[in-house]
Amino acid sequence: MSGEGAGRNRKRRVPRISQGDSGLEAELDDEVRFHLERRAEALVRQGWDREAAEAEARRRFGNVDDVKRGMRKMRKRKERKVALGVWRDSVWQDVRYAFRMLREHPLFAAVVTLTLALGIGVNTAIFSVVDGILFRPLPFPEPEELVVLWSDVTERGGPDDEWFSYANFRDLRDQAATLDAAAAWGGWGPSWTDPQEPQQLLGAQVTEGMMSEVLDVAPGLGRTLLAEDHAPGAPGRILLSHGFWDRAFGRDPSVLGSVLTLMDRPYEVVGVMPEGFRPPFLPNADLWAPVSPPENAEQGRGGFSWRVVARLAEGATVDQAGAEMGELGARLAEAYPDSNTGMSFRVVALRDDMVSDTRAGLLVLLGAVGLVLLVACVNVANLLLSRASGRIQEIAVRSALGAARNRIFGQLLTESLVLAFLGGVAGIALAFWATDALVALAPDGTPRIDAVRVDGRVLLFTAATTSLAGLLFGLMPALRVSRADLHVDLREGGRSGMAAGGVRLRSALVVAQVALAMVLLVGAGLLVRSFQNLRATDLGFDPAGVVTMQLNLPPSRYPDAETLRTFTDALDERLAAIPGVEAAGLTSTVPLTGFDGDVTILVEGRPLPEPGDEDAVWFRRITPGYVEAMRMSLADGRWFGSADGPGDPLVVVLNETAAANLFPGENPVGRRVNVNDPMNPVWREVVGVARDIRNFGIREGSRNAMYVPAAQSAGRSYFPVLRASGDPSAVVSAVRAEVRALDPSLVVAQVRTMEDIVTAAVAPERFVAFLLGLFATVTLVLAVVGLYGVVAFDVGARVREVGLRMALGAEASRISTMVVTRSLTLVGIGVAVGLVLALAAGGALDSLLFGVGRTDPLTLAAVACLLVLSATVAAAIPAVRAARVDPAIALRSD
Amino acid sequence: MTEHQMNLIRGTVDLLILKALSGGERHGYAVSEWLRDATGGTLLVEEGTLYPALHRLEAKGWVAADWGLSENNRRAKYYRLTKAGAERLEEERALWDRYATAVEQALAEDPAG
Repeated sequence: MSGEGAGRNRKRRVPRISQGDSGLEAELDDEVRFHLERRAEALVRQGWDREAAEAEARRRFGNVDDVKRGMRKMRKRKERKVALGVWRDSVWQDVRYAFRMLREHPLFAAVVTLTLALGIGVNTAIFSVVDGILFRPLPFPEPEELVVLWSDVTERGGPDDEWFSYANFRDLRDQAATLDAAAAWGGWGPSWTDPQEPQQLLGAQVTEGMMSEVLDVAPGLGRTLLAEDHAPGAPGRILLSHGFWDRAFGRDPSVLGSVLTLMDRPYEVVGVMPEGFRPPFLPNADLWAPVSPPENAEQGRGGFSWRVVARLAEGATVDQAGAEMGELGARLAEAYPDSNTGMSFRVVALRDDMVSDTRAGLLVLLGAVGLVLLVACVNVANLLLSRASGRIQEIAVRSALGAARNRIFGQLLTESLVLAFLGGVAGIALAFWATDALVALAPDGTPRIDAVRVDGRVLLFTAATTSLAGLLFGLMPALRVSRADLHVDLREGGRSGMAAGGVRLRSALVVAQVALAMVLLVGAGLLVRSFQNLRATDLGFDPAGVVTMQLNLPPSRYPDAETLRTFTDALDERLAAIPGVEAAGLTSTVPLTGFDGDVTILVEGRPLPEPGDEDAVWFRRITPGYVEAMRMSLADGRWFGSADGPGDPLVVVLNETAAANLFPGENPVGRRVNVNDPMNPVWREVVGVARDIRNFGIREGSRNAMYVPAAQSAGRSYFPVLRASGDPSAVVSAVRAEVRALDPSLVVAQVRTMEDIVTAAVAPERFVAFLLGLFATVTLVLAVVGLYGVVAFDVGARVREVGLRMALGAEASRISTMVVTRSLTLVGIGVAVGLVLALAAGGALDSLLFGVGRTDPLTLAAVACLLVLSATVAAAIPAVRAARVDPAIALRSD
Repeated sequence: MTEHQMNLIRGTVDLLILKALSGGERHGYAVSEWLRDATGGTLLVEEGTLYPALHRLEAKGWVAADWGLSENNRRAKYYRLTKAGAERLEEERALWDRYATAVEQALAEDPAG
């Protein structure tokens, strides 16, 4: 109402009386009537008759109702604007006030910000990992159409994720209406012999349409693979990955058309895939080669050497495709009973398939960080409550001075949201760092880890989490304080009523905190025990001091069994002679690193089994030194020796599982078995039974397995395995030298110690257990700090009572006991509630546990003890302080 | 008289009201009187249409209003220009000048040339 100017001499102010709708109508009436009257008067002065003047005034004014409607509309517009302005002003004022309060209490602000930053930071980091791996769409066009097919041979006692024979793949591809395209791939690890130092490359052989139709990704340079590249007898052609192009050719575009010698065969580079192209299989592949349909596909229908990726037809669902695969599977089983009996086919969305092993652990971690944030929020709520108690007088005064209750509530909530905002900003900073750490820490081979990053999606999540957290920890104190009986508080200096009620609420919060901490600690305890159990599992071999590496013998230089055997014999001898090597041998696969696939086995003297009923057995080719190097032990009979040469009677060693399955209740030693070829019976005598080893994974039980001497069954892919007396990696260069001496074109690849392999096999479990342990520790610390805060505040609020008791003769020790007992009661309730919650939530862990149940009494008891112990320590400090209260001072203080 | 009457374009109403108030605060009737006098009676409007316009300008914050007593001691609503309104007046005026100049210039041109 400032800026009065020219009108002052003409106008005197009247108080504004009108309010609300009726007031508004009256105002409009007044304004219109004033105009009409003035106009009529003017006309009368000009000589108009009174009645005619009034009519003329109305005529000149126009339709009064229309005018009023227009005025009303504008009025509403203005009111909305004013309300918004008032709201904006008050929010701004609250925000400024909140910042001022925080500046005045820097310690409080720092503690709250750090607590929240921790909670929000770990949530953001874990969410970024979970989002990247589980939620983000795959980087392919229409990624939801991509599926993986599996052969399901559970009916014959096999796995449900078996690979495909080319014939079965081809028939499904050609007949399925729900599939738009399908292609198969097989692993391919050629040695590249053009460079000075030959290299082992990682690649895949793909059937027609894999790149162009199924994955639908065009090369960044050159052309994709065409039908003619897949034709039988086509010249060798390859696509390079961007990474390999960068690493080996410095991104030289002239690589197109050049020829690489792989396994002694020429391959022309026709294209380079774009940067960031990571096929769902072998995301780190260096190259892809087209493969043509095998000539004898029909004969190999019973095999499993291809993996299949497909694209659903438009509008088809995974379920529909699955149903069709079921029908086609049944039809194929009918048409080809010898190979397909007991075999059906499954369809899994590609993304689900890629992350199936990772999902449970990630979701557990996501849940865990949610709990961490909850506990952090409870802590902050506790801090706010104790501070609110201290501010009750200030608030009472403001209220007495006319501040509306909802304004006080709004201001308190604004303070909380400002705190949440600060915590969120600090949390995001923490999350950037933590996400990098998580990615670095993630086990090798974690699917899609390259898609993990903190970006807009993740920050949106953080913003939502932060706001929710602010409301969560801010609402309760704000409601409580703004509803407090302020008159009483003003009179009593804000000590008694509010404080006691606050303590009740805060005690409930402590119970909640302890319960949440209990849940996390139990989860972490169970996972750590599982991990220990995994590590303590008897593997059946001794990984310490063993180093393994890989060698591939190309058919061009090793065309037949004779040349292969000559090489392996020579290498075996040379390896054992390396100084510092205790034992050395060759094997066709290393335990815990993957599969070759099973072969079927027949027992001599038994009728041929029905198709689909054959026993499958894992086939491994070894030299005698391998057994020694791995320190495997024998249950019965003997291992091979130098007497089991190519010209000698054929022999085989079964593992205990195969012995039990194939010869139940019989002694297999001396019996004969035939592998994979009923038409051409080459019988091998069982000469021994080896103890089972953990071959497929530490969690997985043993399967049928057999060991065949390399001297009697030539292979072209071998892993030299050496046991060194000292550091196993020290002998690697000597191995390379020996290999080079035998054949300089061979590549010694994949050098790994057996210890590393075992560690990698439990890396996912260790990752989850470590993080859950970390989060549980953080939560424990937060809960203990929260408890300490409440007890300390409680003692402070009861100084008078304590002083009185002491003045009346209570002993100091009894006072301390009272304080500690009170807090232990809270902890006891919290532990009980937490126990119930932990048992209820334990189901989420089931798939991660190993050798320990979710109700493991030892873990539960240990966690309960840990909590009670920490709580005692947290309560002891204020308790001791309470006992030192000087009654005289305490009584005077009020 | 009717051949001289013109309907005011909406934007022009705003401009003229702002101008009317630039001389100091006035009630609606005074604005309509000034408008008639200042245009020589040429730009006659239905007087009532001024009121929604005044309220619109008020909602926009270009004019402020409060109740006072008029010369003859009757309750009347007075409008005055705010600072934003004064600025707006300058802008509208410049805009009008440009518009009028452009139209005039066009009318002076010989379409045949």
